[in-house]
Amino acid sequence: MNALTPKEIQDILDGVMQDVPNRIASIQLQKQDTFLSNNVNNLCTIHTTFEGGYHASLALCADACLLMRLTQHFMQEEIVTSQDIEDFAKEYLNIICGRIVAGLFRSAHISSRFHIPSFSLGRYIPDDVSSCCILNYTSNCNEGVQLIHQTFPLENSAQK
Amino acid sequence: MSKKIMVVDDSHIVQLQLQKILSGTDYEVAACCQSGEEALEMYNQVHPDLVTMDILMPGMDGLEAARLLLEAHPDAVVLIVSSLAYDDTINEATRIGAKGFVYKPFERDQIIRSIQSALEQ
Repeated sequence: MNALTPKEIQDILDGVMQDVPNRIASIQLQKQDTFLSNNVNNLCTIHTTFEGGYHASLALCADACLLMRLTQHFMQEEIVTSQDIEDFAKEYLNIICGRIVAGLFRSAHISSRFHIPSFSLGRYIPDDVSSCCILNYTSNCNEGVQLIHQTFPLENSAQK
Repeated sequence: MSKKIMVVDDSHIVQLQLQKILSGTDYEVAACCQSGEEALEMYNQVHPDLVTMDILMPGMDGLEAARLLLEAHPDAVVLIVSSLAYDDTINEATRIGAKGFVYKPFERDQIIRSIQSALEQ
């Protein structure tokens, strides 16, 4: 199995993060140095872990307004419920992770899977930020998104 | 007469999305299942013309469910609909006899074309 550098992994994550909302709702995310949101009290977190040839966790914190807009586009409905948004958020991370797994395989022939995402209200702050790759974005409506990626120091991890 | 589609996906929102996309077309969602196990049970009751199958679901994954379904019903038409779209899974889907693979997120025309193409094979 080949290994990937943190920069190569970050490039895969960044490509997926920008591509998926664009495909779902033509929403373009702009990369930022820090987490910026015009609504920090209304954040949601979706979380999962990878297994197989890649051991990592991934948490996506997003402004609920952005998730609502994405849900509306996804369902082609103006009115969506909080349950719709939660269901969509889990599917959204599912799509992101699927793309990441595909990217890992194409780049380094790493076969991995991920667990079914979980959803929670509020913002996820990792215990050890120094071990994480954190990517920040804002939408055209200044809604914030943060992707927190943490590899686990286990054998066969993709990161070298 | 509409062709019957059975949607196998643990995401309720994807089930709704497919129902919405297919309403008013030549296809109707006749049943939705949330797991591979449920799909195997439901198939005999619904007799769908085509099954859309997600891969990552609680319990049995979609590729295993598709394999068992096609073993029991060699005439079944299975279309894999998943975000896990890379050589490994696409090759496995082809090997077990799935008639196509649709990436998530998909667009309306794309899924309709793929259903049509799978049913014509």
